[in-house]
Amino acid sequence: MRTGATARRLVTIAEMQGRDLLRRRGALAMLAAMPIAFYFALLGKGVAAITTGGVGMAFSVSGAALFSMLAARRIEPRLVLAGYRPLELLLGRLLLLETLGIAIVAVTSGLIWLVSEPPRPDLVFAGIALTVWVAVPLGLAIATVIARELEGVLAAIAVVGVQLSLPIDSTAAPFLPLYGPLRVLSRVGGAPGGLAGGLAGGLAYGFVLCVVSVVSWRLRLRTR
Amino acid sequence: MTHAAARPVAAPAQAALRLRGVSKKVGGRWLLRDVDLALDRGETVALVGENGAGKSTLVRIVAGIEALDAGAVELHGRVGYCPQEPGLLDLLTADEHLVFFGRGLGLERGAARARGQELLDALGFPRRMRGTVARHLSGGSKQKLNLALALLGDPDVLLLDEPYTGFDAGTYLCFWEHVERWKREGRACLVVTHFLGERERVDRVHELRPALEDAA
Repeated sequence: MRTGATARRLVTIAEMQGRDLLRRRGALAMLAAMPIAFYFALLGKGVAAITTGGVGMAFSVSGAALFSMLAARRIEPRLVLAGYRPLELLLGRLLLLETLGIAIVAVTSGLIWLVSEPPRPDLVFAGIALTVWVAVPLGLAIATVIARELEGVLAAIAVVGVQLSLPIDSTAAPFLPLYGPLRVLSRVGGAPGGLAGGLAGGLAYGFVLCVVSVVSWRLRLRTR
Repeated sequence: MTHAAARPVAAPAQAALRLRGVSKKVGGRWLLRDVDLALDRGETVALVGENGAGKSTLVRIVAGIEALDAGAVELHGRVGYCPQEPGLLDLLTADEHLVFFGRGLGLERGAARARGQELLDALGFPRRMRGTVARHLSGGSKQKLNLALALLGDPDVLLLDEPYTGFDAGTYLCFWEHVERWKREGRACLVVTHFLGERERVDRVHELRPALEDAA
């Protein structure tokens, strides 16, 4: 009974967040266009174009997550007062953004598949989906910890930008959140090497960022 | 404005809200220091004080959306909070806000919409604007929606932080008629106000004075 009520509330949160996002047509168009633009910027450079498209996806999705949190911060204490649990608000938003992200992943990876014809198209989808899995909680975590627009955006640019500029085999790269997805994407050309580390690393990093978001969010909305 | 359906009148002189020694520091200084306040059911109290005295902060503490540093808040019953700035999502319509808040309160979608529309009608919110996103509503309409959301859960204690901001003269007078009705229904109302004229419309006035002593 309680599970059903929680599920209905999560769907309501995701629905309202979705309605809000669908009315931001310009932002939605940029959200879909950014990874494609990153990809086409390096078209002809083999796997580099695909990994850069993945980074574009990270910029796009983490930015959407960050702003979805910050746009609602004035109303959320009232929603908690109305009966929502802070965790439900966060999970409802996560549900919407991951669903939206997967839709963009399908379009982007389909396009890459058609244009680049990579030897491992399955890894294009897996790598970009893993990027979304990490980037959504990355945006949410930044928004819950920093909670200011400018500082939050700069933090997101710094994290994703540093990841973009570092070679994947550098010492520091594995400590950054997009290492796992980029490692998976680097294998789409059929290069040898295991995938388990990249997949597990990406999944684990996304999970840890979810935990950071939840803890920080609960502290932020904690009252008496 | 019309009146929404009345609810049973509560027995008089039942405690609705008690604050004991509520204190709050902001930026290392005491904003509120040892505030005591009590409201009974069916009582309306005006919370007054100069700018920066901590009126809105105190109301947020009572609502439970801001932490206190010392003291205790004792509440009996459900709280409805109407903030000074309408806390609305710019790109959601009035109907969508009603469903969003109603779901949190445990109402089905249809029930939230029906109850909300009854409240919006009572507050004089134009029916034709219900499908308009909040960003395109006038200041007064936003505030009416803000107030309707505070009332949606049929609260026992109403916390109203200058709730008439943006109202025209007629709506403002009708607002006070509603306060009278809420009082008759047994609700406790704490109204933050700056207007001296409103002091005649309430049972008591509680003046907040700035806490002068710096934090140790």
